[in-house]
Amino acid sequence: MSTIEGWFYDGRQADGVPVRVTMRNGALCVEGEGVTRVWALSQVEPTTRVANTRRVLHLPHRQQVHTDDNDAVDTWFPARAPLERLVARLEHHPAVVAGSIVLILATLIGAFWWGVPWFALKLAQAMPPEVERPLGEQTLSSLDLWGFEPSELSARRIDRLNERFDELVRNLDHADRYRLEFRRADMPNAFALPGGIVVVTDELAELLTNDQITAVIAHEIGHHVHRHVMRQVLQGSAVAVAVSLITGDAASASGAVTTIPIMLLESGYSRDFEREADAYAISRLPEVGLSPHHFADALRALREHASADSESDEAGIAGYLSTHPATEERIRAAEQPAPAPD
Amino acid sequence: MAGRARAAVWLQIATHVHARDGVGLDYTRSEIAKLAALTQTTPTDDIALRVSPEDALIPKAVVGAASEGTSPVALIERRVEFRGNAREYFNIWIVNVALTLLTLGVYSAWAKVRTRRYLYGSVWLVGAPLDYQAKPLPILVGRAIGFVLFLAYVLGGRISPEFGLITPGVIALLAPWLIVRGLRFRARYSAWRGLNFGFAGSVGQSYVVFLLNYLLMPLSLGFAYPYIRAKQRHFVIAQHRFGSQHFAFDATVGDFYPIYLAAWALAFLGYLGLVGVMAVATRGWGVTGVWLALIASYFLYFSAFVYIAARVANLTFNKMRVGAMRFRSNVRARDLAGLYLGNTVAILLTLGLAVPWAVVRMARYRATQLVALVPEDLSGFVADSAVTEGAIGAEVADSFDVGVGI
Repeated sequence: MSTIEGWFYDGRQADGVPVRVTMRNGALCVEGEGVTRVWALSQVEPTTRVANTRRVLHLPHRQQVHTDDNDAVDTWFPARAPLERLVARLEHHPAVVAGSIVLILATLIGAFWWGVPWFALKLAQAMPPEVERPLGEQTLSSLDLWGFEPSELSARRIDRLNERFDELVRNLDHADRYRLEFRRADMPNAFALPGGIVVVTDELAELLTNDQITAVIAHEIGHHVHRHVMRQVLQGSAVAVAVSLITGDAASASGAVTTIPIMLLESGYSRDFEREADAYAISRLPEVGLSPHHFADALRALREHASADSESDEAGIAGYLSTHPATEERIRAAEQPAPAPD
Repeated sequence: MAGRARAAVWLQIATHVHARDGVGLDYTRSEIAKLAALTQTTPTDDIALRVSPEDALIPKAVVGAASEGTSPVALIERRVEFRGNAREYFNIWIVNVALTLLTLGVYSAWAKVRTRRYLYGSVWLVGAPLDYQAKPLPILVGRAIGFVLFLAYVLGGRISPEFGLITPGVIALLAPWLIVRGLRFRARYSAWRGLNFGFAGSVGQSYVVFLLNYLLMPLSLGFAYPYIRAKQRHFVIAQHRFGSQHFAFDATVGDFYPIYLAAWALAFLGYLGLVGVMAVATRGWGVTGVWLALIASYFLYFSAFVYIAARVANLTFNKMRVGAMRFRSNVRARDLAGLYLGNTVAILLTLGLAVPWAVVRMARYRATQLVALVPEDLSGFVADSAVTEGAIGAEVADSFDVGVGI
């Protein structure tokens, strides 16, 4: 027969009564100033143990006994809430804690490496063009608003490049959704926008030959074929949601703190996309009678341009922010002899 | 005899330990008298002295009017303590997250209850911890409904784009209702000293403060924002009660405007600085300059955010009353900034494993900056008739992240 100390709250007012609590003949006895009560065990509903936080014994009529003597309560009520007692024990078990750490890290890494990309791919493939198209149009018109100028390339050059473009997309699914756009911007660049749009800047056209531009366009079409643009958007938002869920209350889900890590994680994904688009261009170019070497040459020309530029320290920021994998590696991939067809 | 000696020691501890650092005693006057009775010792002069407001060990007996028309009540400063530690919380958290993963999320409701019970149970005020009493099963039902709605949103968006566009609107329309349900549930299952909290805010009022008021935004070019936030906070706090005692919130809209205006000024300066440096940088100042400008502007935006968080938290507690009870909060923006940054870096570097440590660190800081001004005895707090709230609203709100925190 053990006696423990606790507090009695009558459930009607906040002032408690310090009491001694004993277990006698299968009944809970509570004694203190102005309180002498006995309850049958079946009337007592103890909360389950959470570490060593104060335990509450719920009694009829909203009365409660609070005590810090968790061990005594566990001894008095051995058969209550067996599952939660098991969990409370697991929380104390070093091996279980270690196993949980491994499980959580493995799940997290697996989700970022395979889960998110896989889910984004499935979702992007199922996305109807009606959703994608306005997104692309909107982006293009805001780019026009923010500094893109109409192209100044000759109509003949544009026609020639459009012919090449048509050739590249001819036997693709939904070939009519693809569109080539030309704009004057500040730097040589080409990129894919949602809904099958490929944008080539005048500066790129001035830097490269038509064959090389075709190779770059093939790379951008590769982004479309693999649904990279929408996947990028979806993965980005998945990462943003995940990061804000994980950091949660502790770091405050404010965008302010979490923007930079999200950007870093996203750039990891886009490196894979660049490799995929490269591979597409390399395998697609021979089918329209062009050598993948044109792609390697285009990369070389762009690299030279960038290094010449960064000496004048103007567009060097493009290098910093670039998500492209090491150019040398990409050039080598493009110049590798094509695998012999089966 | 042994029992009596032990009880005497217990009484010593109860009355002395928490007076040691000079901020308040742990128990109310009537509780100390009963403690003494229990140990069959008469309250010594020593103890009597300690509970009297004149005593030096009780630093300040603030005289404040409990409410209009009643006589002033002596209020004693009592520290709010967070007694949890990162180690214990880590063990609870990690095992419960692992169980959630292993059960494909079904266990998440139990996990939520256990982690919350630890955190609530670690917050001590006037000799008693907070108590989280929600049961997992209703939470699970709420989560299931939230999950189904979320799936409907994702799948519906795939089937027809119009559906995907409508759903956010539907969620916005439901949000005020969900917020009220969430607040009601959380309050109903939070308790202290055997009495439950409650939330009496009406759904209609919630629609005004969480939806209709936003119509003022375009009309005022955004300057109504502090007004909207003030009204929301007032709604959330003043509709709470502890037992039968209603909360009061004395902050006016005018208290909110200086906070937001200062933060906006800070953010605007950041923007101007960024534009300026960008302009210089494009004339040959270099990449480093652009990066510095980006970092500086990021820092300014972050400062503005943290400044609002700290000042609004202080305003909330300082202008809040529960019966005669008041609070004094002294959260500082620079402390908060350090905590947020440190927590984020730690969480990211450990792939999330530092979350429990970060949560405990934040809770401990907030508790240390908070002092309660409490009447000598708590007999003014009495129970209200009990009502049961469903968890559905609370959990659906969680799924769509429309919750509001105090």
